[in-house]
Formats: sequence, C-alpha cells, structure tokens
Amino acid sequence: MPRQMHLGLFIYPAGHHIAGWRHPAVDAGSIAGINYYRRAAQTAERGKFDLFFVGDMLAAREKDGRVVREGGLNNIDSISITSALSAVTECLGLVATLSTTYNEPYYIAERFASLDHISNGRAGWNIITTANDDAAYNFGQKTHMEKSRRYERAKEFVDICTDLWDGRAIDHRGEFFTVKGALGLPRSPQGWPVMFQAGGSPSGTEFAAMVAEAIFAAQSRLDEARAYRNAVMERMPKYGRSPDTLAILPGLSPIVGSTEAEAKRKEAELDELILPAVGVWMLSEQMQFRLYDYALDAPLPSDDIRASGQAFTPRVVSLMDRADREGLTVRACANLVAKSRSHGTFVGTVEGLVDHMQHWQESGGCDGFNIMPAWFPDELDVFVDEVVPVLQRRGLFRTEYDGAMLRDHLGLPSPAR
Amino acid sequence: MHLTLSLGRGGPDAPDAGALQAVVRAAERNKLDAVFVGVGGAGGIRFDPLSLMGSMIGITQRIGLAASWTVEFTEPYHVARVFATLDHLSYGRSAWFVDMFDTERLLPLIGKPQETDDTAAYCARAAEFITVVKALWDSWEDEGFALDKATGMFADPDRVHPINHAGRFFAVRGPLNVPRPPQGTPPLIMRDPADDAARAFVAKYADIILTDDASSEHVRALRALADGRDIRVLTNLRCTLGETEAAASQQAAASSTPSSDCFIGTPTQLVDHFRTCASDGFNLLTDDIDLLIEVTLPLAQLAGLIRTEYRGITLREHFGLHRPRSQFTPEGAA
Repeated sequence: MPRQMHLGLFIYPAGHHIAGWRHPAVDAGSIAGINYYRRAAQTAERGKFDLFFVGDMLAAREKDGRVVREGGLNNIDSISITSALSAVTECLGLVATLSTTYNEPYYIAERFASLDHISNGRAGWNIITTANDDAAYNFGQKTHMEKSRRYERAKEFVDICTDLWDGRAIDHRGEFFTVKGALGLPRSPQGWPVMFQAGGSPSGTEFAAMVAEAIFAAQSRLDEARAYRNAVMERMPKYGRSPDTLAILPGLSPIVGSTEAEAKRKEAELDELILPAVGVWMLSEQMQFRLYDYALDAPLPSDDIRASGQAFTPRVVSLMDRADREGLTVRACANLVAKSRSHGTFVGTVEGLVDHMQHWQESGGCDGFNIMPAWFPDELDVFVDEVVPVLQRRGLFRTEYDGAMLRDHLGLPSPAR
Repeated sequence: MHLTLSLGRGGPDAPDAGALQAVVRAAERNKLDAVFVGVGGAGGIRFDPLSLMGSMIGITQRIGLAASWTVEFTEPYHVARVFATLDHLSYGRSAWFVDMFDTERLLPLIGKPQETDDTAAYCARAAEFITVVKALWDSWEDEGFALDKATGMFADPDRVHPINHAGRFFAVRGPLNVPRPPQGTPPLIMRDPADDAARAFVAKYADIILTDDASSEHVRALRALADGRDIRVLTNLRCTLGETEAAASQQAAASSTPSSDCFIGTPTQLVDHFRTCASDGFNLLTDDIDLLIEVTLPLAQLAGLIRTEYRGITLREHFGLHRPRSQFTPEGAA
C-alpha cells in the first residue's frame, strides 16, 4: 500500500484567494459566525481530513496607517474557533495558531490543555513568533522583537507549556518568564497538543527540527519543498528525534474543473476580481518593499528589492527567483501573491490534481497538504466530493478514521512524560 | 425577572466538559438569560473559561454565554480580540465576566509581581484596560465592515480607526483586526466588591453587577453609583434543593457551604423566594442542577416570573440593554 497522505483544511474567511469574497457564490456577510466554520469543518470531516487549521494575526491588515480597503479581515481568534468546533465535530483534528511573542505561557498551556480535553484529544498548536511592527504597536512595543530573540523566547515558552502539560508543578525562573504552579487539569488525552510549526527561515528550521511534529510549509516548488523537508529531517536526530515523527504539509490552493479549460476559466473569472491595488499591497507587504510607485507592467524590480537589504523569507526568495527566471511583471507577481499568498497552486482536472499531489508525496516533497480552497464553501465541497474519492481509490488516503485523536490521524506517538 | 446560572470552571473530579455542555443545553431549553462560565463553583478541575465557553457556542442558539477573564497579566488587545470573536461566532450572545479583585489566585501562576495592592491604583489600571478594550471594539464602525462586492470594498478605511491609545499603563495603536461585534460592546459583568472604592469602579464600568446584598437599599445604592447608566443588578443566590424540605436539609447538612449563606428548600419554595426579588433577578449557584433546571424553572415559567420563549437573539436583548453606537461614529450620523 502506498504511503498515506495527510490532509489539513486551512480555513480562511471567504477563501484563500484574495478576491474570493467577491465571488458571486460567496456569502461574505457570514464569514465570522459559527455556521460558516461548522459547515467547513463538517465537510472536511466528511472528507476524512486529518485536521482543520486556523491561522492567526495580531494586527489589522493596513497600508500607511489605514485598513486595507480590498481585504481587511484575517482570521478571527483561532482558538475560539477551534473551541467552538470541538462540540460539533467528532474526529477532525483542530489546530489553532497562537504566537509565543505576545502571550504568556501559563494561559496558552491552559487553553490548549482545555481544548485537548474538551475535544477528546484533537488539539494542535501551530507555534508562531510574531515579526511585524503593526502587531508590536498593539502590545506597547515600538518595534518587533529581533528574530533570534523571538525563537529563544519561543523555546522557553514551549518548554514551560510541555512541563505544565506533563502535570508537573513547576517553579520556573527563566530569561523571559517566571511561572510557579500547575494546571488545574490532569494530563490531556494526547499528552500534549500536536505541535505544529510554520515558516522556513534558518532559525525556524532549527526550531522545527527541535519541536515540530507537523509543519505547515510554504514551498511552492517541488525541488524547494524536497530540500526543505530534507533540511528539517536531517536536523532531527541531533535533538534525539526520529524523522518519521514529523509530517510536512505544504499549502496547496487548487482550482479544479471537469476539463483543463473549465478550471482555467474558473481561475480567470476569479482573477478578474482582483483589484491591482490589493495585489501590489500584498506583494509589498510580503517583500517588505514598497512597490506602489513601480509600473504594473514592468518586470519585478528584483535588483532593487534585493538591494533593500531585508532578510527575506524563503517564500520571497522563491518568488524573486521565479520572477527573474520567467520575466514576471509586478502585476503578474501581485496576482500570484493575491491568489494564494504565494503558496502552491494547481489549476486543472481532478485527475491532474491527484497526479500532482501524488508526485509531490512520492518524490519526498511532503507528507500531505494543507488544502487552501480559493473560496468557501464551493471549492471545499468540490475537493471533498471529487478529489478525495480519487485519492482514496488510488489508496493514498483513508476511507475511514482509524483513531479518534489527531495523533492517531498523523501517526504520531504520544509524548513520553 | 432575569435568571442566570454560574457554571464554574470544571468540577470536583474528572474533566468532563460534556456534562457542563449538557447543563447549558438544558438551561437553554428552559429559557435562562445566560450562563456564566468560570464563575463560582468549586473543585480541582479548572478548564480555561474561554475554551469551555467557546465549546458551547455551536450547541446552543439563544442562551447568553459569559466567560470569566481577568485584566491581570494579559493585554487589552488579546481580550478585545477574543471577546469580539466569541461575539461574532455566537451571533451576539457573549459577555465578558471581568474577573477582578482576586489576583491572589493568579499571582503564583504568572509569577510577576502584582502591579499594586492599592485599590485605587489597581482600579486605575483596570479602568484603562477596559477603556482600551471598548475603544478596540468600537474601532470598526458598523459600516466599516462594508463587503461591497461591486466595488471590491471589503473594509471602508474611513470607518475603521486606529485608536492611538498612549496611556499610563498601555500603548495600543489599533484598530482591532475583527469587525465590530454584533452587540457593539459585549456586556461587562462584574462582582459587587466589599471595598467602597472598588464598588464605585464596578458601578462605573459594569453593565451587569452580581451582588450578595439582596436589600432594595443596596440595589438602589448601586444604581445611584452607576450615575444614569442603564445597568442590571442580579442577586447571587446559592441554593440547596430537595424534592422535600427534609431532603433539602439533609443535602445542606452534607454540604460545605454555610447554611446561613444559602437558600435551602424545595423548588416550589425557591419560586416563592424569587417573588421577593429586590433587584433585576438572580444569579443562581447550586449543585442541584436537575432540580433547578428541570423542576424549578418550569414552575417559575408557570408563575409568569420568567420568559417562556426567547424574543431576541443577543445577550443584550435578553437583558433589555440597548446596543451602543461606536464612539467613532461621527456626530449626527444615523
């Protein structure tokens, strides 16, 4: 039997395509209420997905001090959503993103231990650090914390949480935190929530090798994905970990049709709805470089961007390389970012999509995917009703849940106490 | 009259969220105004009140859901964001039970030195905290969440405002990254503290006050302190119930709560006690959930003391509290 694929559903208000909310089939006014999230979660559970994934941000999307007109909402508080879903789903893993940069470890440990109990062992924590100044301004800071400090803080944060989850009464005095006490809960069904991580910078890769049991990866090309997966797995033994205790799930935003032509038409209809201003804004944000004064149809000024001296994320490096290689314009790059925030995309038939996924997995690029529907709920329904059965027919994906906990779905061991 | 139920954070033994969820469903069948998650209750199991309350949103439609959360060792942006989210998810049924004047409990856990043990200074910080939270909720005017598909305007930048707060305790630029909550401002619920300065604070900021002093004088005093704000005052009522008086007394004898602080009797007697209410209603604390919900509440409905159907959706509607405008709404706007 082929190696089993793991699937996450990455929820996003209205859809992962920036113009998804404008699609005629989307009820944009519904995107903050429980019914929106329940429908998506129950659909994912019907499709036997491993997990439901919610992102997080600690500042409004803005440009020059004003909220961005064309798309101002990111995910509302992630763990509130997963808590609400815990009582209306049975098997689906529930992964919430929370930052270690502006939170206190005791509260976060208590929240995830509670969610793991309430959901009977389905909680996951996507551990992030927060790097943007906009968030710093909301927490009394003048600028964001420097990268290596953020990861030092994250490490101490996670160590405190795991001690608390193990049921210990701790008396911790560290560089960043002082915590004395124990949780008012016994060890939760999974021991610890499944530890997710996202991001592929050098410090992030090291941190992932140290703590991550699953990674939401950002590589959109197979060679990059394979290199990244190898890099993390190579580093695991030095932390006493086996590489088979990790699942790497790159983001994938598919648009499928019954024919190639139909899929392309669906994509084109949606791309029509992207306003150039929002694409250029997203690109500028992602590159930390103001592109507003550059001509839309001129090549991406990658030399100017590189010369700006930023420490670029792998996603940005990857996009600049591609722009140079393919001669992409500012507008083309803006559209790419707007479609999927430069995560992987696929436009084509169901069989073609499954071929693509299978190829990535068999080539060592991933252990599955975090699926990012371009808009909700239609494109999720299509995935569950048409793509999942093909994955199942090829023996790549479960037809029933084998266990009740997220660790069961991902094939991860329970952490030793 | 209004009736609410304090639900605690867990229970004495096993972490059984399902049992608590069943209580909330039963309370909704019997049209209670709200349950307060993480308020009162004893025992070793302490769920995070936000996660526990969140888990009740999808399995109820009407009942109000308050969660207890502190102003200590956290940031206003987090609190504003979490309760705005809970209010959206629940279509306006949330409330923030502001857990104050109990820092002893938290101190060892977070381990930072307490900001102050002086009530005035403590209240000054809490006041600034709450002011920032409310400004963040208001930072999106209702019209800010524009969703105009034709023009592609998702958010209206003229109707979403940085709050630019720079105070003694907090510096928060805003705006929030969640649109204005359905209730505008999710109501704030607070305990009536013993200290006079603390009481003045509570009367200034709370929408719903829970008091142990059931006298009409005290309720009048609280309203006077609220200085014209429309508030609701609920009297805390601990009750030990039995199907007969003898059973109730036996139950009380076995309980650790001093009987002087506790109503002891049958459901019928409790309904009679409801008639003596000098405030806007009662916040009930009991271990005898079945007798309270399945027997007492239907009797109170028959007696015409509490609703038999929900008329509104939001917690504010249940309590007859109006929905405030955003403080950023321009003068003269509709």
